[in-house]
Amino acid sequence: MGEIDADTFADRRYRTIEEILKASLRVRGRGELTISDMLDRVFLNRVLGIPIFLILMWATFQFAFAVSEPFMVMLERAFGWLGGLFGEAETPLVSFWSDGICGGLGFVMVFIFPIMFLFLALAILEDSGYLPRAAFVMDRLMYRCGLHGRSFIPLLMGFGCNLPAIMATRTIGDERDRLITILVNPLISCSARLPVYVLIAGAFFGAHAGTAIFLMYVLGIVLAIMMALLFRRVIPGLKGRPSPFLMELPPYRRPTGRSILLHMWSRAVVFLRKAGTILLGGAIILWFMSSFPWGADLGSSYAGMLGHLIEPIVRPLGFDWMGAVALFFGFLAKEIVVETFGILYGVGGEDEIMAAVAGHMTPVTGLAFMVFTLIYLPCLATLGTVRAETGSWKWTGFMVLYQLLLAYTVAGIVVITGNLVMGV
Amino acid sequence: MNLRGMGVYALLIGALCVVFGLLEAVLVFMECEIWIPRDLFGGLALIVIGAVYLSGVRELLEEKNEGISFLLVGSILIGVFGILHILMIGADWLMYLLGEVDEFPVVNALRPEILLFVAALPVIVYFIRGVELQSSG
Repeated sequence: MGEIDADTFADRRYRTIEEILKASLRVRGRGELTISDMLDRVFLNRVLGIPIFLILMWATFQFAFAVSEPFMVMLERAFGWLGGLFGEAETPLVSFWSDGICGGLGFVMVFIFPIMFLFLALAILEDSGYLPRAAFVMDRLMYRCGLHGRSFIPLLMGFGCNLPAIMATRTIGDERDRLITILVNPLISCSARLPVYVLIAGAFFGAHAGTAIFLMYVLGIVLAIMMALLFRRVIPGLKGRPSPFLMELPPYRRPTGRSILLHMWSRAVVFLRKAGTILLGGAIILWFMSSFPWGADLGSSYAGMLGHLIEPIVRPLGFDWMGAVALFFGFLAKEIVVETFGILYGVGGEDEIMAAVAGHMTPVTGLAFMVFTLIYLPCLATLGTVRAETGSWKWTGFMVLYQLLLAYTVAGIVVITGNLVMGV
Repeated sequence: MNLRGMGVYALLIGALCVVFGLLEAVLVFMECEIWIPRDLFGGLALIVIGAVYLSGVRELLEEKNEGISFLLVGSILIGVFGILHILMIGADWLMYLLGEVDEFPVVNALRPEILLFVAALPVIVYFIRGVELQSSG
């Protein structure tokens, strides 16, 4: 037998399955629908499928932001109390405890709740069997935009963490499809960016903060699709049509509480592990840089020196030196952006830090900062994975360059348009 | 429940969803005091849910089983949004207990999504029973 392609093989396989089923099963009466048939008829609908997907994602982010708020306040108060245990931060050791550990690491820790709630909602969507349907619905759009349908799963995984999402591109057979998916994957908002969005959106958008966060996720998807289309059309090695996609849809299931909680807990453990390692390290470095030379004011500290050095690059976007330092260290892990604000502003509590953010930025620059954080660079670990998966420094370097350029351009557009609209 | 009855029910709830959705979205651009919240995306979500309900009305009125699909998914979606806003009221209440907000006006927190969820409850219960029967039999 000669070689046959994957689609012909799948087609023959399904035809055989159909013949066996026809011979062995009693066929339901005409018009008799199962619950699964009914759900698929609407969730996979050509017109309604994508709007339904979008409103469910919007509900997910509203849930993650609004419902987690009181729990964040409770944890924040606990850290505030712990930070004040040794009185005023007059000695380096007390300052290390109150400003570095409780003010920096403690502040970023409160964001464990939106992350847990986000993954609780995503687990419900996944376990119910809806998320694979979302992939199916998005496939038509993605194919037109030059992305392989199978790219949707790694892109979806990117909402959790870009690192395993990039590793998951191994399931894409065609090397060009895979490379494009890797290159655009960091544009999908991972959970590490969520604390930055929650902080800035909370500071500027009040009751509409959930919507602002949702728009950041949508922007990430739109940019990923646009860049994929551009790469497919412009870069010689990536030109061509994506290969066709065939996927089996799992049955709908009622999600079990145990499985959902396990899913949520596993994300919380990932965050806690990160908090105990890289975020703790980041807090110590940032505390040291912002507190020394001891007694000097913040602008003259090592952090201030670094910030003033980078500031001219981001000044046109309206970011000050503190924003520049936050973005610089955000390259290690995106949560460090929030940690940096917690330490540099030197105030305790979410409300106080939000007020400090609102004092240092305008709503327009705040939005531009969110956009820049979304696009500018993946974290160091993800970049290492891109190098390992592509096996090429050239593609890794290309990704860094295009993301920096894109971040600057899109944030610039936000600033110019926003200022025009606001009449600044 | 007969299919025509379901059709009328879907038409009613679908139309209400669209009307409330339009109001929520349009009020963002208007200055007036009304209990309906100003929420562009919340309004758009309600319009989508309304569209789902209304898409099945014709088939249901023609007594075609296929129309039930839209009633089922519309009810799931309004259930999701109703529960979401109830949870958000709970979160607001906790914030009030924590002293983060000065008042907790529960009447203002009652959004159209919650009222529509209550209106759709009979259909939701009907489908839940249907699913249980299908999985047991």
